[in-house]
Amino acid sequence: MSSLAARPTARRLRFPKNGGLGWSGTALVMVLGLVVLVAILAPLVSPYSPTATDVLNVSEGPSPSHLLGTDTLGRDILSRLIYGARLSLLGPLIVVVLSTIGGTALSVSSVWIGGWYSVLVGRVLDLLFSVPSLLVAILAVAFFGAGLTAPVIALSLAYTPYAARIIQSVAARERNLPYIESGELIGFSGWSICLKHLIPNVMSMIRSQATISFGSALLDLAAVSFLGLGVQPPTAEWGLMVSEGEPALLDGQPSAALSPTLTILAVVIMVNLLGDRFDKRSRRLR
Amino acid sequence: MSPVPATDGRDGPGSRAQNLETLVDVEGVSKEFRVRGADGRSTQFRAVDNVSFTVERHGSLGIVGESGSGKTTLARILVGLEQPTSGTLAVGGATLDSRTPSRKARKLLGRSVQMVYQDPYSSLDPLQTIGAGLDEILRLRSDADPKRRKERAGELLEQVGMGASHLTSRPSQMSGGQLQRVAIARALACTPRLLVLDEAVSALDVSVQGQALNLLSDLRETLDVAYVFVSHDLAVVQQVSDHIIVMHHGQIVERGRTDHVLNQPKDEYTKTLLAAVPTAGWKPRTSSN
Amino acid sequence: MTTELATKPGGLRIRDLEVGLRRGGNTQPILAGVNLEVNPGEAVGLVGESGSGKSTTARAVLGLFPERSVVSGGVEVGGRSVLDLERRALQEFRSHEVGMIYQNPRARVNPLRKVGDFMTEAMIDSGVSRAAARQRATGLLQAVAVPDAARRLDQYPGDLSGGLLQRVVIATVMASGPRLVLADEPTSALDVTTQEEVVAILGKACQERDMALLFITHDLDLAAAVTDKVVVIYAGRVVENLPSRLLHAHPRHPYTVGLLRSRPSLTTRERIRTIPGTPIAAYEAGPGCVFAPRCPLATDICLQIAPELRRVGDSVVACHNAEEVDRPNSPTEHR
Repeated sequence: MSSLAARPTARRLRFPKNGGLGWSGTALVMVLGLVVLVAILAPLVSPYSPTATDVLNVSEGPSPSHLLGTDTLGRDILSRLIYGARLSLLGPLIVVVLSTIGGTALSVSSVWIGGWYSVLVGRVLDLLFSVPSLLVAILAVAFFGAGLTAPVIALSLAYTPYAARIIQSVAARERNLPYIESGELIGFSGWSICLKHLIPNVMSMIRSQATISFGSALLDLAAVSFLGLGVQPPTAEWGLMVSEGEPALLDGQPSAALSPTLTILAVVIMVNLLGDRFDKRSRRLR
Repeated sequence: MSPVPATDGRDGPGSRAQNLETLVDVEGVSKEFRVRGADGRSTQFRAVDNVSFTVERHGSLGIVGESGSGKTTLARILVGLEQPTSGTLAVGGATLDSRTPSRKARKLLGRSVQMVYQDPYSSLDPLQTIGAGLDEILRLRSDADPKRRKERAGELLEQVGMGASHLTSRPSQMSGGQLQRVAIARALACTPRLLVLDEAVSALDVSVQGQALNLLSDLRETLDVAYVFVSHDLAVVQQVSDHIIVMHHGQIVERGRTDHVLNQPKDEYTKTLLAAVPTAGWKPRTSSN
Repeated sequence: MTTELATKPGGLRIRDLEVGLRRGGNTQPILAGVNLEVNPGEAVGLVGESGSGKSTTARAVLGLFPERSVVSGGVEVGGRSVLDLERRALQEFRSHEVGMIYQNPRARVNPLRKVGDFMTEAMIDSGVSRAAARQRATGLLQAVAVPDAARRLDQYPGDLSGGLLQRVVIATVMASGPRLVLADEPTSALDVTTQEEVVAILGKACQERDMALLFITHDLDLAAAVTDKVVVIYAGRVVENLPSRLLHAHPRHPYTVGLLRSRPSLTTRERIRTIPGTPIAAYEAGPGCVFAPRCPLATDICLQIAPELRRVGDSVVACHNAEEVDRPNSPTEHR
């Protein structure tokens, strides 16, 4: 039974709140935005072509003409990083978009319809949960051949239950609030309530969850390419670059392997921190 | 809303009968829930037990009781959010019973009944401006064009004592009292014949509560709307309702005109309730153990 | 500023307490001047609406302040200044000197532990044997009229109703023998019949043990019934302090009158004479009296100069026009 005479609701005292993300959040958005911009403008920004080999300058360390050095085929590492950003960022983006849409659809419909449907969705999600994402990606490649398409689709499926579960808990709580119920009384359709009221009110959770899973997707796809199952040479992609850089390591030239590794690390950390900022912001706004 | 000639509904049923048609007729309604006890076995719990009452058009009925009395469940049955396990319910021409499926019940009742909730903050979408919310309702429930809808939204806000300037505000920018007025305006936007108010003033500050009660009285005088007012607060019910039913363990233990019941209670439970209300000069008594 | 009674040693004294929040460059006030005293064995009601600062005051007594707050003034319990206590002393103070009872007992009690464990925890910590602690706990429950006390010790909080659980909390709080008990809306979530029992028990327990009780509530009638003095707080300031028995007969502040009139009558239906506008918080108040914008008696001076607390009749009140309040035919004529 809900409490009877709840104490008079304090008016939500509005102290001026600090916009949202705070300075660290804004800085992260700017840096990551810059990375995306560089990837998009690769032809304009990159000093060399990513596939231009230079057999005279193989496995060089950083120098004025090659800021991050060259790899075993004499290709400029910085240029390959810049071009590589395109695929390295696009893949996880697709995974996140697909899995978030799928997860949202499943969880919101489950919360709204309830009953046997909800139980069914629960079971399906349990099934998807039990499969490790990387394994699924590798199996997909085994079936459909190397390249990014198969792993991206496989990972989208594998990530869906995570999104669904996180969104479901907030959606369930929101669904039971009076304003949703009152919408039903007024006569709004379920679609209308879910799309216009329920989902927008859990959007902040969706956003923070999507941001964090981007980092995981990036790592998983880089791993797939590292194993030689994803992007194929000579295309530039960070995961692939790490494996290609291994021989240079043994030659005493770490830059070829280290640069893409640190780049991956940096992007993943920044994205995770940003996701965390989103999460904190959504808590504060409630 | 066209004003209804001021019928003094305070005279009670039977007098000046011309406008006193029955709006709500509840007959033998019960509601049982299946509850899982601590021992793991499930039992039937009767939240509402064989309740019957009527509310006439333009009337006002107070339903009082403590927690577990069934009053909230009864309110929810009246708006179609719960289905009775037995009995029938007739509201504004629509009749329902235990066999009516929930969606249909809500649809039937939604035409003439709306609910105002206790907590103004969670009964409104926090992301939506007041104007957008009202417009959404008016778009569904009326044929008006956008311009007319906007006018109507402003009218509704004025009716509840708020300026049209609030159309662009969001709930977080407003006080509880203001939001509760908005909630009433939203309910009225659906042109209901009956408003079910479930502890609608309980979460308001004392000084604001007084304003809300005056507003509710005024609205009933100018609009063609009846109230079912659920509350644990007897003094509030005295202000807002002509008739009252007292509920205890799902049953009606006393009923009648509000001022009669509250001034000359006949039932022991009603007397106990009244004796426990802090008023001027009241002192708490300890129970005899 | 002036006290109305000679204070006995012990008990609570709050003097000119001001609390502000540092936001950006400015300090936004939450409490703009709280003065009150609770003597041992005395119950004082603190009554206010949203934004009044009553909960902030309660937390201040425990030494709990919001982040980045600026505090001035004095808070003393049993002669010791709370604001000067170091962390360890503060912890000790909070566990032994002050007891706090909240609105929702379920938020206070771990639902996964038995009632008996909850009650005996502090006792066992201080060296009492398990058996003796259990016996004491049973006695405590009986003292607060919990039926079947021994069996209750083995139940979980979820098995008890709100009212019963609140009584368990009260008993536990009393057990540690605090000098001061703070009850913040202890019965607001309870049925009115349960409220009566709980409030009676609380009052009796405090009197018997000579404890000071600060009873915080929004319900003026309840406060008047269970306390010796009522302190009315608005927008972070104490506006009136008067003996409870005089509350309905001779309130001296227009806000107090307004609050009394805002309550609907149980016996007759009448249009409520409301206070226009809505309650504000301290940071929303302008210069002058915090209540002036809503006050029927406000004059020019009220809008410019904030009144100090002064004695008028049996009340201590912060109002320039307190003498007008009781005049026949004044806008604040109330009964």
